[in-house]
Amino acid sequence: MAQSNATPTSRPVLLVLALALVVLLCYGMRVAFEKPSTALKLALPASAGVNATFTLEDGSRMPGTGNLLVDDELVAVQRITAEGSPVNSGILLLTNQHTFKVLERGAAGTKAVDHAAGAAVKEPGTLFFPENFASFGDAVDELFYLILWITGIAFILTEGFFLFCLFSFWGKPGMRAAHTHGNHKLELIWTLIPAVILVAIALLQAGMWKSMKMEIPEAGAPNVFEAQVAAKQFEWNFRLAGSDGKFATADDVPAVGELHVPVGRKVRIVQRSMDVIHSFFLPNYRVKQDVVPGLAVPVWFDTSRAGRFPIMCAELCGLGHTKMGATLVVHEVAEFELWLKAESTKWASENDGIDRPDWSGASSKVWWWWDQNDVAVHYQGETTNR
Amino acid sequence: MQLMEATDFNVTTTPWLVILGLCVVMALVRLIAPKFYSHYLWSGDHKMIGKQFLVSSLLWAVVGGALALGVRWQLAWPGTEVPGFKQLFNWADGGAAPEHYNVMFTMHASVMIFFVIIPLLVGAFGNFVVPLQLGAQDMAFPFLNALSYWLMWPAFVFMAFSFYVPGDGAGAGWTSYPPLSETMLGDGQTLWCMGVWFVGWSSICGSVNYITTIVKMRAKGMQLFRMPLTAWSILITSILVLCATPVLGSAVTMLLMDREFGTSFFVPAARVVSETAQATGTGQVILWQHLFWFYSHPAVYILVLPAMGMVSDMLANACRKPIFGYRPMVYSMAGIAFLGFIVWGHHMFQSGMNPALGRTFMIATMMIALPSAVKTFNWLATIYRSQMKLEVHTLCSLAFVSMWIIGGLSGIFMAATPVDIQIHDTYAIVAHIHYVVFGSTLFGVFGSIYYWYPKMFGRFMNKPMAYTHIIITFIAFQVTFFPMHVVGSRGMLRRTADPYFYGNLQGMLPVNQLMTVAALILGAAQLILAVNFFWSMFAGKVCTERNPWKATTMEWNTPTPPVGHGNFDVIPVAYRGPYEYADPAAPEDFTPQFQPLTSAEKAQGQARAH
Repeated sequence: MAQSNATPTSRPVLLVLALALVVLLCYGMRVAFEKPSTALKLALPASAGVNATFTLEDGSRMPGTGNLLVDDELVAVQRITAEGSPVNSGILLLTNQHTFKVLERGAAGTKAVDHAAGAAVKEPGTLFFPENFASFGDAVDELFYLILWITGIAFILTEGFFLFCLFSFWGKPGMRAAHTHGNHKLELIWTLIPAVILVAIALLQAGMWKSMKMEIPEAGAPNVFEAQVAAKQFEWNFRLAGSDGKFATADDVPAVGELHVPVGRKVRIVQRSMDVIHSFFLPNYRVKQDVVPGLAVPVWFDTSRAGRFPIMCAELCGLGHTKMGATLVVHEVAEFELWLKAESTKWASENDGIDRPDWSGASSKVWWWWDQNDVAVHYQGETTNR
Repeated sequence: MQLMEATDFNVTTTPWLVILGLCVVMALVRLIAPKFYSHYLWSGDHKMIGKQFLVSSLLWAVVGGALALGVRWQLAWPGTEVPGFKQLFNWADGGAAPEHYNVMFTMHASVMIFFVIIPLLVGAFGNFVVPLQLGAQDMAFPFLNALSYWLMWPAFVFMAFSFYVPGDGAGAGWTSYPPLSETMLGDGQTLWCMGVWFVGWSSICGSVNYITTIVKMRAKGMQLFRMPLTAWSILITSILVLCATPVLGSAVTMLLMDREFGTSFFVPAARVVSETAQATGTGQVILWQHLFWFYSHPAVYILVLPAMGMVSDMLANACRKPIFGYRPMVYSMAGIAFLGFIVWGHHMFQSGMNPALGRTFMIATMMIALPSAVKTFNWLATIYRSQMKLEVHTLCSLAFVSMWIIGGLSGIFMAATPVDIQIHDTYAIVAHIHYVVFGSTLFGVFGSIYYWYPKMFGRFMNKPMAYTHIIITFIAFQVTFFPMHVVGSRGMLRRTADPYFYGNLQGMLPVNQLMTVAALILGAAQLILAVNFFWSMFAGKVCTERNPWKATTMEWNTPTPPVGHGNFDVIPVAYRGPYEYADPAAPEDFTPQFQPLTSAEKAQGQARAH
């Protein structure tokens, strides 16, 4: 006769065990994914220009050299450690007495796992995502963690139930499984619950996507800084308008491999490719946009902190794809203005008296090509120009 | 193994000559050994064609797996020679150069998708199992069936040759986005296009055959809703193949014409080919992506639906319990297939496509998670209160279900457009696709091999070897692919030969080395399967029983192995649904479809009819 192998008396026990497993796994998830929130505690001397010692409150470690945010000003940390190993106390060279936050712990080459072991007020990059500096990036990260929570709970519930079944329902001689062909009410429930959750996620992100990809700041609007990107195998060419604020003039500032922008502005970039598809990827700004030959595709982000950030090519573009990197250099405003003026004057004098600006260096042909072949700024399949 | 000097090739003629040579060899075999020819080569018997597909796919899996290990090797020890690749592919640098890295991942994906997974699922098991499950004597069109197998061979030849031609093999990724795939690569890319074109023909021939067979050739009493889920999944997959593959064929033809005949379907305005030359057309680069993904998104479901069907069969058998919600399982497969046609744009969120379209595709993509969730819950409910029997196919189908959960859940991240900005083209995507295609589909395939092997060859596979293979594979799989979720979302890009060029990725080297070591173990574990597969064919425990797994579906009503051309020695009639396990009224815990109704059941049926 048909019988379940879990007898009526043992069933509640098994159910409690399964629930306990789920709760335990949830707690494990919470510990694993909780954002670190410990503060950096400093013993600061009264006067500037001397060393300050620091300790991390929870005894966690801080590897490598890094940057500190001091009253919104970036200060490099020169930490004296024994053999450069991660420590939980050390000495900082400071210029003034301030309250401050750790912005970036660890230079290039710090292990991912060290980034994850947190000890900071400002999130130094989470377990999954690198540190964010874009205004729209926080929302993206929150959405990511929301989905991680939802899928994490779904994962624990389903796999927990799966494990419970795996341990409970091995066949015993002479026993038969429950004879059921389904249950419409149950199936309706587990169709509708995911449906509601998925629709909620879909609605939640619509606005975010719009602000990132569809509401591109207009050229010439206040606080918008414009730059041009010409991608070719295998280098990133950047062009800034010179002192006159116009592109395709003699005082434009071209550069290969470095994009210089001022802090605190909305950066609007128009991208074109000369040969194949490339992809402009700024991991710290949550920006990725393919650069498509034949189209001029816009992309934007805003800068909130000075510093240097990696630009990567995310779309396979040929044998040199792996080395197609560049750097985003975000300057302080005053510093940037001085730099741009000097560069612009330099290029204007080099191009002086030449009808067609003949920029020297590797990027000359690129910008000649750009100006010869004008393309309206738009996405594929879009009728309005941006 | 120095095959020949790369410069000796004439790309336009050599592969054709080889194909012609194969035809001549076949003709000679037909003259000399006509019985061998009609039994082993041009056989119209669906069982033999299924075995042909199975063996050739498993052999190509060795190539695809070796290429995958080459990719992993480069990520762990960048710029070093991959052992054996110098000899295998005639590369002086042994795969250390980035252009050869591009060839390795391109051909890994192409081989695994076009030559391994699709032929294994649809070609091998679809062919062998479906007519037997329907109670049919053969497929509807035996000639077309043989043709669909032998059309794979020109594809095999073209793809194999593409490694050795001047200018290296195809290196634009399996997606082959133009313009990179048009002008920047050598003749290997042309051969790749030819190969894909023939695979497309093979798939179309096969799908027409399956649809006709399933619609027209079912045994008496085998109503559509009495078909096992394997047959349902092959029917739905074949409809997908029939609708989607011609689009791929057309796209590849357009790409070939752009490459060889100077058309400009995908050539945009003002493109620079070299320092001096501009190639200007009026084409659209993104058009290829639309056409390609219009095929390749449904292809993702072609890669998994048949495995879902086969796992449902095996799971019901392993659990000794009817599949939970048979009809919802069918409807959800149909739902996945339908939605699969309107979500292709989610591969193109960052492609420069109008972002407004991206939103539409995002919502459709979220919806496709629903039928997938329904299937998952139904499998879990099938396991609940079951009486599981420890067999190899039990472990495989359980692995399928648990890995499908991970692969499915990680897909939600990619469907969320703002999150996709960060993880598009990173290892997070690689992790997702491998959890679906390796974790789910391949475990389904492993299970199917162990499950149907006795019916195919009349012998069991060796059990200890099988358990070792499955357990090592499962553990090594997790270690290889799970960390990819993390390194990917931290920014590690796919398709980069040396990611440590970027300072922000340098710290990921140790994790990558761990993954590579696990991948090497994973690869080595497949040798156990290979040895077991061929050794058991001759020395495995003989199976004389018709129904060794005590299963309920029609294929277990034939002699083991089914004798000759024509499958059944008794006229097959289906009396009941496909998953009648654990019926309390029945004498045993399984009641096969082919078991005639008892008088009590007849009376019950009559009562219901009145």
